[in-house]
Amino acid sequence: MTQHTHPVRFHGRTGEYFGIWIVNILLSIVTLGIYSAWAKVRTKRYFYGNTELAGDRFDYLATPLQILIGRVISIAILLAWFWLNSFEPVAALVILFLFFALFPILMVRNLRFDMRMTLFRNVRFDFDQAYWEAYIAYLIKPIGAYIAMFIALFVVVFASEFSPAVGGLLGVVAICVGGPYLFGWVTKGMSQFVVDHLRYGERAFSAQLRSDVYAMIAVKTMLFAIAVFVLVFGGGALVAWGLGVDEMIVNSLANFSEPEAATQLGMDFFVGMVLFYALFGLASFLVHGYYAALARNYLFSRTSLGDDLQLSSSMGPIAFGVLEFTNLLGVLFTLGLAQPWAKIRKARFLCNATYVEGDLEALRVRDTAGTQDSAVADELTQALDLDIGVFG
Amino acid sequence: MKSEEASLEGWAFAPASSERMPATLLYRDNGSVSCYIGSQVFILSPDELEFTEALGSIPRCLKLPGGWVFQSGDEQHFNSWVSRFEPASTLHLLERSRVVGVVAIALVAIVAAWFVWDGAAMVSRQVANVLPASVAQYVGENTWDLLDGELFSPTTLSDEQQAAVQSVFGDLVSQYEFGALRPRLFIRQWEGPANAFALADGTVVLTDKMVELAESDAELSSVLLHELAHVLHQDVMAQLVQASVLSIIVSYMVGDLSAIGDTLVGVGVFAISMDHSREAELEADRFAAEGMLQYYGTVDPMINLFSRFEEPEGTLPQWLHSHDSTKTRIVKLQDVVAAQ
Repeated sequence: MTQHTHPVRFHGRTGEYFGIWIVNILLSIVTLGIYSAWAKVRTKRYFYGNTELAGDRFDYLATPLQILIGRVISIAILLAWFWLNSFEPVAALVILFLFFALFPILMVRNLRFDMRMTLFRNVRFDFDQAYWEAYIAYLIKPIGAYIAMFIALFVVVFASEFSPAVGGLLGVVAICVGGPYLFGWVTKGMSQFVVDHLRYGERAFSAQLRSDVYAMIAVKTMLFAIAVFVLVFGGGALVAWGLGVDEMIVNSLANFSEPEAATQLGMDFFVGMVLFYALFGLASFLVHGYYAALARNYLFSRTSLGDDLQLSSSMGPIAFGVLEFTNLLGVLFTLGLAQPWAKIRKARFLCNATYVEGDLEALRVRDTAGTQDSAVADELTQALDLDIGVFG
Repeated sequence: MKSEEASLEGWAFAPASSERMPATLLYRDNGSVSCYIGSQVFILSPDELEFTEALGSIPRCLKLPGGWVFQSGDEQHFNSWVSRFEPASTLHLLERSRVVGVVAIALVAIVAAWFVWDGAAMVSRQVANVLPASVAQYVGENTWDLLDGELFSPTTLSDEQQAAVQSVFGDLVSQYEFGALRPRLFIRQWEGPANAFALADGTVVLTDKMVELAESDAELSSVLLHELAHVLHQDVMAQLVQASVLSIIVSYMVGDLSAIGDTLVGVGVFAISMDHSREAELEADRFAAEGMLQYYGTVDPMINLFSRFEEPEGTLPQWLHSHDSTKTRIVKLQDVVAAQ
């Protein structure tokens, strides 16, 4: 068997996508939103169709009508909920609870739809209807983790009553070992669930994941977060001190009764707030990117399709956070016009960091998925902003 | 008739199969096409040709009968060959046109600017007018329950003082048509400076300090007229609707953002809302000034009362205030008188 590393290539171009994006917006405005279903399909097709693996492109198969129906139904549900929330808050709460109880089902339906709409080499991806496993991974395990945390908290408080030293020690163990491990256990469960029920045609994906690796990723991220926040805010404070900002504030405060000084102080305060948000944003993006890259690299390195194909990801942990942050800045400072640039840039980054190892020429898979698909779950999860993208 | 032949090398997929099979496409000038895949041959006339839809410069595929698909290794050549049979759709042309791109940017910018500065206020006012009175009732009552429970304590004014204020209020209310809303007045004790405000359902609130600050019925009327203007114009509902509409539009404009991005956008939406709120305040001042001229023949009591307001500390730049400074408001009042 010949072994190859196939890079995933992205061929999308900012200028080209800009045209599609702007026409999508224009027509969506003109048709009062109806075109947005067509817009979604064209956007997805553009990104899928420009993603190449070993000479072949991916494709997105959903029809605008499917999306439109899903969208109309989910908007109706949302509106009904908002209306209910204003007039019958108790009933709305019950429905919200019901929604959380149904969340795993919705998630499976959503993944199933997305996978069945993804085509590569004339064969579609698929996702098993593993509802019970979804409940375990997405509802029961997280709830179990919360219960375990409460028990740990109770034990720590209880122990502190007798011996503060023992209580303190237990507390440190709970935070530094128990917390990350619980997190790793829940995260591993979710990723494992998704990969285990993912298929390409008749062939199943599989992953060998370990909770303790996810726990280690969590610990590393925590340490990284501390370092980043100290650096970013320490650096920010040093720069402010170097510029003499503290003296300026003291001066403004001393002359507070004069309207001009007071207005100046207000302005300074406002600028300070914006800077604080910007620094906080930078730090958060760096931390989030760091975690996302480590988790994706690990997940891919343990995921294979059948016996012959192995995924691989080489995302730079800092580069991803920097990319997301600069994307946000670009979009904000162009009032949204840089969105196509940001999307293309992110897609290119993700593709460039993705590989498939193995002999793709020898891959012979048959498509087994049926054709009855509804986009309701897909649209509802999007309308509610539930992001379940496991593969970034 | 003899016609020229040309061929394109590529590969094909059998129905529902991922196996890449070498294939050759043979086409003649008269439009007839043959596709050779292993031992299979498909012969198609021009009107039987079906391709995947054009989008950007994604390589197109030839859809063969029964779920077979042919794809060429020479993407550009194949794409231009396809365009001979299938003229590009209007949509595809629109998406590729530079002119459309530039015009669209300008149009989106104009619509966005109009919406942010004027449209949102206009649309919100229309929506607020269309909303059933029960919504305003519900919002107003809940706001009042919250405020009365958290912020205010019972008034310390005597029963006679309260009755006098209520009677001035009643007289003014009877002068206007409020539709489904029933204006009512509450007087409450509050720690902050003299204040008055209106809620969505027509509830008007005066603080004890405001009643004490007013030295005559005329001065009191000027404040009450200002608040009744908010009720008549449904300013509270309009602002509520506007805040939601603006947030939705802006978040659509800048796309999927994280929580941090949302916060930054929120700051912008807040600043714009404050600007519109100042306009609504000036409008209410104008309304009150006209009322004063009508009932008292002068706006002097209003100006006198305004000049006794404690100026809020100028800790924020002007455009972040919901009200203009008292000085500006008095100047605008004098403009109203001058215009009459």
